[in-house]
Amino acid sequence: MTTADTGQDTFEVFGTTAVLLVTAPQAIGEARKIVDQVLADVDQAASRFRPDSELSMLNAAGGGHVQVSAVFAELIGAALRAARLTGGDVDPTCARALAGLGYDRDFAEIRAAGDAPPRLTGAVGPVPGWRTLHLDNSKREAWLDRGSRVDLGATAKAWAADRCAEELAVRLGCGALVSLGGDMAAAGEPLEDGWRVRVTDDHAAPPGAPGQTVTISSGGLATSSTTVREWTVGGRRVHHIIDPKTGEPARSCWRTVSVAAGSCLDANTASTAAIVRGPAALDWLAELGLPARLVRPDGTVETTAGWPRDDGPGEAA
Amino acid sequence: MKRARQSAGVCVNLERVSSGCSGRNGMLRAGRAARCPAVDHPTSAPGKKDDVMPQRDARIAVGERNSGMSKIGRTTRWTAVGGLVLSGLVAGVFHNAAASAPRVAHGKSEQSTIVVPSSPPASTSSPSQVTSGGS
Repeated sequence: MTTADTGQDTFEVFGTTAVLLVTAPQAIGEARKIVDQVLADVDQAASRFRPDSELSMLNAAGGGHVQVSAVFAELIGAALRAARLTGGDVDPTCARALAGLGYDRDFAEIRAAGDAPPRLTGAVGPVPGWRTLHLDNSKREAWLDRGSRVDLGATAKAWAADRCAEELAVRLGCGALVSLGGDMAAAGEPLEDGWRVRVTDDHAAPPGAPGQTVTISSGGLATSSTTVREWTVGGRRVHHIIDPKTGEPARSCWRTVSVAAGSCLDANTASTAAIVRGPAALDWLAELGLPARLVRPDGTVETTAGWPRDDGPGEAA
Repeated sequence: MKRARQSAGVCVNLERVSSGCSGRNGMLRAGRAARCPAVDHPTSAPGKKDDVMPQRDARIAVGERNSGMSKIGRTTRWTAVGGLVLSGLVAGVFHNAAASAPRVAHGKSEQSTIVVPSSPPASTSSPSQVTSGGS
């Protein structure tokens, strides 16, 4: 199977760009329908900006138990697992911290608004913590400790990419790569030489942007960066990766981290945690055996666990 | 000599008490008498022979002892019941904690560690199909 035998579709979703690649070009229309359904289910479950989403209802329940759909239960489970595996560095209870920074509406509106004033004043402080989010799978119920609010943005997109790729591979019987805002999952029989991915700061960057091109055949590849989804509030630049210990945007020694893992969810969990962990991320990723590429603000690059040498031009600072 | 006589006197007294009790009590008394330590009896005056415990006092002492044993038995039983209840509660709490832990059935979500890829990315000079970056 070669590149010429692939079908591709690109569209906007979740305030970002989605790309579908399938090794059965004739099935790209069907692939889009499958993916649209999965993404609609995820949006209905976990959108922070839809008042009718399950997540909004959970946040508004004031500590009460709410019935959750199978999709929302899985999304919560994925978020709790990410928190557990990172020692709380990827925490789903950052909603109040993000809202306090002005990220209380769709990001396109924030960009359009320019200097968006936050609704909350003063420092929010450490987030309530993932242990304040509870899920009872046997009763299909979720609840929050009073005062805690959930945002699944750190994991839901990656979970959705995994689900989309698996659905496509199973239902269409082909190889598939699904990218949601640069977080990508591959499933099924891949292309002969693998899927070719440009790794850079911004998923919307042109093909020639500083970075590196690599191939993957399965699993996931995700990139987290402090240079994208940043905005100005109260006269200072902030970004969306929250350090749960402070409730503030992470002050990292890395501007961009890309990680390859067994799934997009795991890759995204590790790349986000690496930004939060800063210098300790190198040893952590190496101990886990996760191939990763970490870029400092000055453009110098570090790699771990078999990530290929970067022979291209250096990163722009 | 005085020490030996006094010690023997206490033992004799115990033997006499046991003679007015049931066989089980008698055995206990006999056992206790056999282990009787050779110490001065605090109530014994030098050169004075110990008095025999009156039958009525002996019955009271045996009754008190039986009552004490009964109390100990009751306390033991209640402690055992309390232990069972407490262990049941602990088991219940841990069961609930286990039930509320995520049990996600889809994809790799059940893995208890971050899963490494089957192979690391490989370098290529061919043009890319898609871009991974922040969003």
